[in-house]
Amino acid sequence: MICIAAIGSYIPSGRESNYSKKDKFSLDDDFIVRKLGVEEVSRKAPDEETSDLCIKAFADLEVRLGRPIGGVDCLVVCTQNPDGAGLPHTSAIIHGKLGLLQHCACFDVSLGCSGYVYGLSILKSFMRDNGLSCGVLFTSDPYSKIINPDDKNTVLLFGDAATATLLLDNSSGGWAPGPFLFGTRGKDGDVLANRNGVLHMNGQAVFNFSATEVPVQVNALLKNAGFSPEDIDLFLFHQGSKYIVDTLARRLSLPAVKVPLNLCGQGNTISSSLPLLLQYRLSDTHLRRILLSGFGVGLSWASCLLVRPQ
Amino acid sequence: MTPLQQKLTQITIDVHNSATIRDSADLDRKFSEIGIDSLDAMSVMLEVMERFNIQIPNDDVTKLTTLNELAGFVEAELGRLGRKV
Repeated sequence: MICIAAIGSYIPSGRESNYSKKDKFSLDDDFIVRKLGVEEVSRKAPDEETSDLCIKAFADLEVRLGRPIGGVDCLVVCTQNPDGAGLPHTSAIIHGKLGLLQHCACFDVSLGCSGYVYGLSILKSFMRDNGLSCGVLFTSDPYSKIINPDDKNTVLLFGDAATATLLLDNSSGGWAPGPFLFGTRGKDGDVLANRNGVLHMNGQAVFNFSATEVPVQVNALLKNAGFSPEDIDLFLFHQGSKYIVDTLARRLSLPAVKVPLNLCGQGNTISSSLPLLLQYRLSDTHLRRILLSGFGVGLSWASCLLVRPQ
Repeated sequence: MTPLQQKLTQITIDVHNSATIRDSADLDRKFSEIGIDSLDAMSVMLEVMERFNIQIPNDDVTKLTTLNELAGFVEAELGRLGRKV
């Protein structure tokens, strides 16, 4: 069985405070804390590339695992802000920087906030179908490359980060991903898009999409798997903003204790937000079932269960 | 208040229970003046779309800045669809 064994992460040390933008955008403290849930957004250094963030997340993964990771035979990077202009693919750049073996498969996946759930499904299937035993899923989508500092809709929300998730075959004590559900509404994709190198977001449209589609998919996933919400220990939602996470919890009638937040110190880190939430909970032996749901760019949304095998 | 205004007032209070809507004069005050910030306003719009089964185009959302403006839009949309409040 292919399971998540460990997750490493890297959040750049650079920070922009949302409190410093209160006058510019007519904000008050209550809005920053209770609505956005983001007090600071993380910013990579100008000379840090997308792959550099991944290398640091990989180093953290090895620290958490307590040993060097040898024998990586598949490496996937989820990003829409790759190194350079995306050619060569960032996964190959990381392969070179880590000095991995030649037989290691490498490819990038172009997805935003639904990317981690997609990535788990892709890597799990790819490993299973090709008899691979050690895969790493990276998420690294530094939106600071494309953010307009004068755009209130985006500059207050998005932060830079990277994660590295280790999937192993026959991993003891790991978490098995699946089943999965996916959704796409391509006709509305222009509400969250990179236009001529600048990120644009229609907040109302993205909110409407998230608040209506995600609960339907979550309920369908639970029904398909034969579970009720009470059977799930944690619901980890993409950290779009505190407001959208609170809205999802309310519309799904979930207790706040089952819907954790992790936005305050770095912001919405796109495909990294779910693994950042998950990494500190992998070793919690009280947890048996976790639901993940990512949603955003596309418009795309994806949900899955993580189950700790008995 | 009309029945529509009452429904919109209730939706607004359901979204944010400390919204300050005391009388019909508050229906002409900007959302921000009755304690509804930009994120709460998004929830109000979504609730209105769902409860009245109508669409509020993205371009119109930003033009609807008071409850009375929203009531006018809903009334026109329901009329266009041949439905009653």
